[in-house]
Amino acid sequence: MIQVRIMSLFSRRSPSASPVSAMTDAALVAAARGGRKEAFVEIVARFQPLVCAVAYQRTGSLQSGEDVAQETFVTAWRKIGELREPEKLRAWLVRIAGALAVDHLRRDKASRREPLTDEADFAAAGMLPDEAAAAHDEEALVWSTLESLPESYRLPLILHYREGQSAAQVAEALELSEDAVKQRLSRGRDMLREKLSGLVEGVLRRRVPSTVFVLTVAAAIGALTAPAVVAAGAFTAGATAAAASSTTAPVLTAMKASKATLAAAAAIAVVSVPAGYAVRGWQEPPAVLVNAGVAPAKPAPKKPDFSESALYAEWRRLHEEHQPVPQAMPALYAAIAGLNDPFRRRAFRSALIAEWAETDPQAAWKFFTGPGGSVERSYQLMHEWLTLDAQAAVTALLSVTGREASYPEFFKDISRHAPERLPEVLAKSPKSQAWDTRAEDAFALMAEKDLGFARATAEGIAGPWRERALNGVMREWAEKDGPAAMAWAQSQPEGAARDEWIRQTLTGWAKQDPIAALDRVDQVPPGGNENSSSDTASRVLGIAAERDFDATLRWLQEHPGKVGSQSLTALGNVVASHFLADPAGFAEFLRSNDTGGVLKSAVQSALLNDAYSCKAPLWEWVNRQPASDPTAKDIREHLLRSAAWYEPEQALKWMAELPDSPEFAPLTLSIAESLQNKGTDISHQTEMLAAMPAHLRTALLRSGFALMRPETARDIPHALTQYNALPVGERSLVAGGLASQWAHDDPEAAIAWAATLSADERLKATEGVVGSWATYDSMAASQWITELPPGAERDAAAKVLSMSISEAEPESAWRWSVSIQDPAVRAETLPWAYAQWHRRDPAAAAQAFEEANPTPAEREAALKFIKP
Amino acid sequence: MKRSARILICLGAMTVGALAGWLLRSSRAATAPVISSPDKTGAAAASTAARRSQAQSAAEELAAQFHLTKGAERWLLLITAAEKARAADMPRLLDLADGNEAIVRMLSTRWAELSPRHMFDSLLARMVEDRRGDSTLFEVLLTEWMKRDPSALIAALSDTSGRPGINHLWLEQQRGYVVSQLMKTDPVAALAQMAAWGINRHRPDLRPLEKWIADNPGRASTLATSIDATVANEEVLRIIGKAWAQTDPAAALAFASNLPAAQRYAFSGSAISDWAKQDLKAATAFIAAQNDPGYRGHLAGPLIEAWAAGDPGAAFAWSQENVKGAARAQSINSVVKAVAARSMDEATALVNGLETGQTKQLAVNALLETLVKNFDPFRPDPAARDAALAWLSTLADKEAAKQALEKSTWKLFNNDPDAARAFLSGPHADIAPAALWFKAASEMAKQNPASAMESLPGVPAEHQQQATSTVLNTWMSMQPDAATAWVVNLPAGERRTTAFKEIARSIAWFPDAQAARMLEALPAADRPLAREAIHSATLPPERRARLLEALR
Repeated sequence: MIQVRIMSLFSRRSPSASPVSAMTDAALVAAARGGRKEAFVEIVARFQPLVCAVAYQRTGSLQSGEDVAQETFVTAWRKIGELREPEKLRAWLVRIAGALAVDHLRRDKASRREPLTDEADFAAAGMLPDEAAAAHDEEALVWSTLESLPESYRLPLILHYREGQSAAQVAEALELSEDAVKQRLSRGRDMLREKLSGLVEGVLRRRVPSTVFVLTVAAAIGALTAPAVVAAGAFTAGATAAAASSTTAPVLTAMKASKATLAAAAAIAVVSVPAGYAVRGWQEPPAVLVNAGVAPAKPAPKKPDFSESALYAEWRRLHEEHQPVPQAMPALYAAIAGLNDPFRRRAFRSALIAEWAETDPQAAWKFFTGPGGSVERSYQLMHEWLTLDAQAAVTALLSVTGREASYPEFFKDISRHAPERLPEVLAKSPKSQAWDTRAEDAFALMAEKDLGFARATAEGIAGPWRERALNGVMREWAEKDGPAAMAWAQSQPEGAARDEWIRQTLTGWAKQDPIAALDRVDQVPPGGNENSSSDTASRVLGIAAERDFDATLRWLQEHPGKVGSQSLTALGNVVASHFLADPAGFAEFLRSNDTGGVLKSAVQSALLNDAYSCKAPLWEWVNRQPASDPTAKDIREHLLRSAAWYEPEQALKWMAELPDSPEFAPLTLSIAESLQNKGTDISHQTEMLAAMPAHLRTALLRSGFALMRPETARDIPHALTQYNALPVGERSLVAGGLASQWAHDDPEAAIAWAATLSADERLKATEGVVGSWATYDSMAASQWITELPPGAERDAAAKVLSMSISEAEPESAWRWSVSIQDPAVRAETLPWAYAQWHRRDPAAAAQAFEEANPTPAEREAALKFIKP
Repeated sequence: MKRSARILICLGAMTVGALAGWLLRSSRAATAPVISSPDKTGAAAASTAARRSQAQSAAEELAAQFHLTKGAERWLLLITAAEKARAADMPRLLDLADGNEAIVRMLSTRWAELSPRHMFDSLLARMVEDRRGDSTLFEVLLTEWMKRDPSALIAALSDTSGRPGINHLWLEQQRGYVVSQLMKTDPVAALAQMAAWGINRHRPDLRPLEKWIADNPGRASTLATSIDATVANEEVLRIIGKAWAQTDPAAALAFASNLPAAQRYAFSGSAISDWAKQDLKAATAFIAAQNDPGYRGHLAGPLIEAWAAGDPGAAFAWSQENVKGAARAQSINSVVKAVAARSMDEATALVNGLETGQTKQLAVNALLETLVKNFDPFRPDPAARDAALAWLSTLADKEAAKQALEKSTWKLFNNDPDAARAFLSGPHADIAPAALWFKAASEMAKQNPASAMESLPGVPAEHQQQATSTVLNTWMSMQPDAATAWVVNLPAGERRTTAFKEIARSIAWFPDAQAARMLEALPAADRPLAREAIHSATLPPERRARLLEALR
C-alpha cells in the first residue's frame, strides 16, 4: 500500500521511533500528541478510505467529499489533544467528517460559486466542455442513485467500490461482521442494478481519491515542507510503480544497502521536480488565475494576525487598562458600554462575551442573568459557552429558574454540542405553540448527523416533547430514506402523533421524491390549523412544486381529486416565483397550457402577494390578449383586485382603461366594491369619483352605498347629494344601504326621507331602516310597523323585522311572519321563522305552524330548513 | 554497490522527481479551474479577475481561519476583518455568521456604517432573488441609517416603490418603521411623511407624538390648526383631540365642530371623556346642543361611561332623553361597564335584574367584553378564559349568555381548539353558541374527518345539519377523493343521501376541469342523486349546464 511506504519514509527520517504502521489506533494518537507527525500520517493513511466515504456520502460530491476528507484530517491534527478516548479514534474522525460535511454544504450553498460556463474554463480545467458536463451529470446521477438507497447499504457500496476495500476491510471499517457486509453489498448491488449499477460502479472506481491525498494532508499539518512533499510524492509514485513490478525490487534493496546513495537519490529527485513541473506546464494553456478555493490541496490557514488592526490595538489597550483577569470583566464590559461608536461598541461587547465565556463562564452567566443583566447578551454567552463546554453550559442553563421560556433559543446548539442532554432540557421547557418548530429543527439536525442516535434519543423522551422530537427526526429521515421512514411511521399506534409523523415524513420525502410523497398525501388526515397552507397536501405541494414544478403540475392534472382547493393555494409561492422570473412568459404558459384550473387559486394568491410587484408587464400582457381569453381575464381581475387593496389610485387608473362595454360591467362593479376595502368614507369616495370616467362612477357609487358602514356614513347631507347624482333607475339599488346607515343614528329621520321617495325606492329604504333599527331596538321598530297601513311596505318591513329578530326572539319573529299578507313575501319569511323557533321550542313551534295553515310550498321549505 | 547500479538509481530518482513535478502540475490543472484566460477576456478582465481572485482568496483564507478559531479570537478575527472590509466584502463576511445573531448584528452594523445605500441595494437585490427579506439586517440598517442620514433613507425607500419583486406590504412595514423613528424627533415631519407614503396598514408607533404634545400641551392646538386634514388619520386626530382636551376641552370640541364629519368624530371621542371628568355639566350641555343626532350619539358613549361611574341611574336616564338611534340603546353598555369597573357582582345583579330582550343582551355583551378585554387570542390565558366562562354560566338567561359568547368565540377559542373541545364536552356546553360547534366540527374534520363524521351525533340536534355540512366541506376542501370515497361507501339510507348531495354540491365549485373529472368518476348509480344536488345548488346557469353535461 502506498501509505505504508510513506510511513516507511518517515520511519527512516525518525530512526529512534517504533514503526508506526504496527501501532494500534490509541498508540498512534499518543504518538501524534507527542509530536510525531509520521504517526498522524499513518492515521491519515489508515482512515482515509473511511473518512472519504463518509464525506462523500454526506456531501454527495466526489470532489467535495475529498475536500472535506482533507479538512477532516487537518482539523483532527489540530484537535488531536482534545480526543478523550484515543481508542475511539475511528468514531471521532467520522464525527468530524460529518460535521465538516454539513459546514461544507452550508458554505457551498452560501458561496453560490459560479459554475464553469465558458469553453475556456473547461479547457483550463483539463476537460472538454462535453466531457465536463458529462462528468458532472454522471456524478450527479451516481449520487442521486446512491441517495435513493438506505444508508445501511450506501456506505458499504461506497467503501467497496470507491475505496477499493475488500468485504473484510469494509466490515472492519464499519464494525460489522463480514457476512453482514457481503449481504449488504449484494443487496445494495441488486438495488442499484435495477437502475444503473454499471455506471455507478464504474464512476466510483474511476474517482478513487488522488494519490496526493495523504501528502496534501501531510503538508497541511507540517509533516512535510513543500519540496519534501513533492519529493515524497515522487518517491511514493515511484514506489507504487515499483511495488507493481518485480524489476524495481533490486533498486529498493540497493537503496537500503546504502544510506548515502539513498540521500543522493532523494536529492536528485527533489531537484528534478521543477523540471517535471515545468514540462507539464508547457502542455497547458496559459492559465493566469487559479481559483484557490476550488483546489483540493488547500494550504493550511495562517494564524490570524491582528498586528495592523487599530481596533485590536484599542481592544488591547482596554484590556491593559483593566487587567487581563476574569475579575476585571465587569469593569471592561462597562468600559465598552461607554464607547460612542456603535460598531465598536457592539463588536467589542460581543468579543468580550466570547472571552468571558472562555475565561470564567460561570461568573459571566451570573452577571448576564442576574439583576440588570441582558437577555440578548445572555443568549450570546450561552451560545459561546455551548461551543466551548457544552456540558457545563447546559448545567448552568438548567440551574437558573424562571428562564425556561428561553430554552428553545438553544435547542439547536445543544443538539450540535451536547445532543444527549437535549431531552433533559426539553423536559423543563414550557409547552410551545405548534408554529414554533425549534425542537423539531434541533432533532432534524441531530438526525442529519446521526439518524440512529437521534431516533433513539427522541423515542426515549417521555411526555409531549416525544412527538415533537420525532417530528424532526422523521422529516430528516424521510429526506434520506422516505420509504423506510414511512414504514416506521405507519407502524406506530394510530393517533394524532402518528398522523403528524406521517406528515413530517411526507414533507421530508417530497424534497427527494415529490411524486412519491404526493401519491401518499391522502394516507393521513389533512390536519392543519387556521392557516390555509398548513394541511398535509399544502405542506407537501409547496415543497414538491419547488423541487419540480412541472412534475407536480402534471401530477395534479392526473389526480384531480387528490388535493382540494384549499391546499392548492399553497402553490401560490412557487407561482409567484415564476411570475417574478418572467411575468409575460409565465402568463403565456398559463394561457397555452390547460392546467385544468389547478393553478387558479395559486395564481390569485400570487398576484395578491409578491407577484403583484410585476404588475406593469402583466397588465401589458393582459391588454395584448383578446378580451375573451380566460387566462387574461383571470389575471386582469386579480391585478385589479390587488391594486384596489394596495393602491386604489392604480386600480382607478386601470379601471379607466377598461372599455365601456357590458362585458366589463360585472368586473367594474366587483372592483368598485373591492375599492371600498380601504374603509372608504364618503369624502374619500368623492376623491375617487372625481378621478373616475363617467361610465364608472355609477359602479363606484353603488358599491359605496351597498358597503356603507356607520363610520363611513357620518355625513348624511353629503351622502344624499351622492344619492341624487345617481341615475334614477339605479337609486332603488342603493336606497336600502343609505337608509340602513341613517337609521343607525336617527331612524325617524330616515323614515321621513323614505317617505319622499318613489315606490320602489321607498320599499328598499323601508327594508333598510327596519333591518338596522331592529338590531338595536326591535321594540320601537315593531311599534312603527304596527302603525303602518296594510300593503307592500308593511309586508316588506315585517319580513325584514322577522328575519332580523328570528334568532334572539324566535316566537315574536314567527308572529310577524304570519302577519304578512302577500303570499309570496310570507312564503319567503314564514319557513325560516318557523325553523328558528323550532330549534328553540319544537313542540310550540310545530303547533303554531299547523295553526297557521301553511301552503304546501311553505311546508316543504320549512321542512328543508329543519332537515334537508 | 556497483557504479552502474548507483547511476541507475540516480537516473531513476531524476525520472521520479520529474514525474512528480509533472504529476503535481497535472493534479493542479485538473482540479483547479481557471477563471479566465488572457486570450479570451483580455488584460483588463484579467486584472479585474485577479483582484476578484485575490479578494476571494483572502475571503477563503479568512473563512478557513474563522472555522479553525473560536471564542474571543474568532470575534477579533471578524472584527478586524470588518474593520478592513469594504462594503462589497460584507455579504461574504456575513456568510460566515451562519445564522449567529450576534455576529449578524455586529457585521451589519459595520456595513450600515460603511455604505448604507450599498447595503440597502444589496439586501433588496438578495430579497428579489431569494424572495426572502432578512429582518435582522434590515432592522439594523434602518436603525443605523436613520441615525446618520434620515433623508437618504427616506429617499431610498421612496425610490423602491413599484420595484419588481418587492412586496408592497413589506415596503409599507419598513416605511412605517422609519416614520415611527422620525416621530421620536420630529412628529410633524413624521406625519407629513406618513401621508406622503400613504401608510395605512402598518401604522407607526404614535406614542412619541402623544409624549411630544404632553411635554407642551399648547402644541395640540397648534398642530390641530396647522395640520392638513388629509394628512392626519383618525388615530392622529384622536391623540391631538385628547391632548388638547386636557388643557381646554371646550376649545378643542369647538374646533372639532368645524372639521369634516369623519375627522370631527375622531377628534372629539376622547376629548369629551376628559371634559366630562373635569366638568360634567358643561360637557352634557355641549352634547345636548349638537344638532347632528349621529354626532350626539357618538359623544354620548364616553360621557355616560364617565358619568355612570358616579351616578349610573342619572346617566342612563339622560341618555334615554337626549340620544337617538343605536347610541341610545347602547348607552346601557356604558352604564354596565362603569358599574363593573366598581364591582362585578353589582354589575351582574344589574344585568340579572333586566327584563329579557335586547337591552339585557347588550348589557351581557358589554360585561363579557369587559371580562375578556385583555384576552390575547394569540397567547391565550386559560385561567382568564375559564373565569369569563364561569361567570357567563352563572347567568340565568342562558340564551343571552350564548349570544354574548358567540361574539367572543373567535377571541376565546380560535387559536385553541383543545380548549374549544374541552368546553363543548364540559358542564357549560349548554351556553355554547352554534359557531363554536361548527368550529369544533371543522377542527375535527382536519384531524380525523372520518371519525368526525362518526362523532357528529354528539352535536346538539339543532346544529347537526350544519355540523355535517362543515365536516364534509372541510374534508372536501383538502382531500376530495378521500371524502367522496368515504361517503360513497356509506350504507344506503338518508345519511348517505344527505352526505352525497353535500359532496356533489361541493364538487360543483371546483375548477371546471377538475369538477368535471370528479363528477365523471362518481359511481353510475349515484349520478341521478348528483344531478339532483347540482340542480338545486345555487350556481350560474352556464356552470350548472356544464356540470350536468359531465354527469350525463
